[in-house]
Amino acid sequence: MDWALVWQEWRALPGVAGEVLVSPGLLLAVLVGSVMGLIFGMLPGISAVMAMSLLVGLVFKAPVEVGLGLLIAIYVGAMASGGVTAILVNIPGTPAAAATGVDGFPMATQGRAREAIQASFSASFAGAVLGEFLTLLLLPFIAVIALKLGDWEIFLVALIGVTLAGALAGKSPLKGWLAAVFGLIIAMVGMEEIWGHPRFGYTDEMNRGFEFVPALIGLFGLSEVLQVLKQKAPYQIKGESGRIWIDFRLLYRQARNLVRSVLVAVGIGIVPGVGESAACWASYDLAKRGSKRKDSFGKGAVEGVVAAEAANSGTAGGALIPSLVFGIPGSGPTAILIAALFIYGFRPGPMLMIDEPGLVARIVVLFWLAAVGTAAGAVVLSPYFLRILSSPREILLPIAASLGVLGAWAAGFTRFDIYSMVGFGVLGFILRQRGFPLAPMVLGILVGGIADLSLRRALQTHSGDWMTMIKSPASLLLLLILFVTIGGQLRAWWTSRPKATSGN
Amino acid sequence: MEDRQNGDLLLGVAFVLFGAVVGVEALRMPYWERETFFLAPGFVPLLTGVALSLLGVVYGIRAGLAGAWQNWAGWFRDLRTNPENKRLMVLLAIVLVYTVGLVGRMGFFWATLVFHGTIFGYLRIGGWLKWLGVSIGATLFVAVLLPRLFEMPLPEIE
Repeated sequence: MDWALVWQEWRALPGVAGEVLVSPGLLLAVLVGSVMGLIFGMLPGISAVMAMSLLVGLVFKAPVEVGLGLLIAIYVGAMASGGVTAILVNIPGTPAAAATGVDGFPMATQGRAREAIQASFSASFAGAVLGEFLTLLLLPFIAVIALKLGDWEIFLVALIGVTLAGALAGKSPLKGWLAAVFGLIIAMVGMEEIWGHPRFGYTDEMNRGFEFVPALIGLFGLSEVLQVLKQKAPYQIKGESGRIWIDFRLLYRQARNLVRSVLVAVGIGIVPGVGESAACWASYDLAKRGSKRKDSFGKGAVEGVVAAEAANSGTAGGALIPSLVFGIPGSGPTAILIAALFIYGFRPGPMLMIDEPGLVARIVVLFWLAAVGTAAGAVVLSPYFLRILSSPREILLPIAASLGVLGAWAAGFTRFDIYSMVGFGVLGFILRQRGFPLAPMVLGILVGGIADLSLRRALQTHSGDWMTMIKSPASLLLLLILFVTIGGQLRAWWTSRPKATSGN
Repeated sequence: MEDRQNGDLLLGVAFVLFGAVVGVEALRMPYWERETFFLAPGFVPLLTGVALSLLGVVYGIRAGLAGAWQNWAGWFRDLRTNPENKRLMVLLAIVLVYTVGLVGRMGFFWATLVFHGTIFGYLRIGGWLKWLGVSIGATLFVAVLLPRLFEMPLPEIE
């Protein structure tokens, strides 16, 4: 174990924190990002991923820390405020807040909207801080281990990511796997790295391959715009939040629930591609099982709100680990952070801590700062939540669509990127309509290149002998995880297969 | 009410066909010789194409077992008459005209103004004064303010 590398990021933390705190431009960017995130997260139809994907193409002109700070703050802010919509309208502002509404909405209908929102923001704040703390502890260890991995292991990590994301990101593993394989195929388009052969190079632009940012904007942005605007139905708001504060007494009372939820969230976050949507349900379920008042869950239990919100904010930390260590995103928003890191010239992967000492500590500090900015923003904005929620979607979403066009254009300054954004938007819309999760597809697009290169290199090195895959203990362990994942999901899927329905 | 299984079956067939096309295209790529077989550019695309087709077959069969072979007439009728689908088609047409028809064929500001004006008009955001104000304001934000702020070139007229 290279302890010097493990210590490096921990030692860098105080210095980095000091630098960040005396940088007014960065502080302003984080504050602005937090407020933007709070507003975007509250509006149904504009998720954290969508807001980040619209902006990632634009921020590349800003200094590195300002750009990253802005994106991270939007992420943290949106994660925290998605719960407000779930509580007041019973529609999650972000998919990650779905579990929050199970108890939050009944609380609002009982006239306890302020209590629910205060609990939601307090848990989000604690979840973000604790989640990032755990990340800072774990990430250097995993990064040092990752440095020892060879081509087989890298390929297996990518394959496990795609398989697990496919299995866990949606309700049906089959749909998740289809989406993931589709993403892998999209990643194959363009110049391959070993021979320089243009795959599927039907046009000059396709020789270059699909840019990641337009694909993200299309899948998460345009598809969402179409999805929301095709419905006419307005929504009803139950209750009003009034001024809220971060309730430290509640956090103390719920400490056990909180820590358990964050541990689950970080654990799930580490699994590539799965992210917040799965973590909030897993933590909610554990909180219910561990509670003495199981019957109150679903009827307005504050523990349910705390578990769900601590988990969706805590996942960000876990999701950073595969993102920074392997370049494989742990969730949708971290996929965009990876894209931003590439835009700024960083290469997320096993060498990141060696190439960019202190970057991990810097990102963790930015997350902490964003958590504070979000909490402060929530306190200031809370009396206006009702007004923000009432913002007309018919005005905001078309502007988001034209912003998406601008963001796609900014990715490479070609009209092909705009066309591919629209293409991915339509594809994303169709798949969402059929209940497909989009995160596995994004993961497939992102890891396709890594998986392709490492598999072919490993096979060539070992003269096509697949059995060499099981000769190292690490790859054997990874293979075991892969088989357990696939086997478990196939079993669950088979037992839940639909029965034939007559006459419809 | 739309029957989900019919759409699932169609999507399954689309996956199978797309996977097959990818597989065939992968086999047409070079370097499939014995000594470079595993390094061939088409090796992984072939595997993924086959995987997509196989998963598509399972997906289609699953939909078929759940009753997708029946009620096609009802499914097409729903597709045609559902007001949400009609609304979607109009929105999609507006987006396509903007991105494919206008951007690059007229100045970005004017293309975006036409897009905003059309879509806000279709969505009936309010009286004509609000429609005009919001259209111009949104266009100034997207096509003037942001590009200046981030110093980015805009799509030029070809």
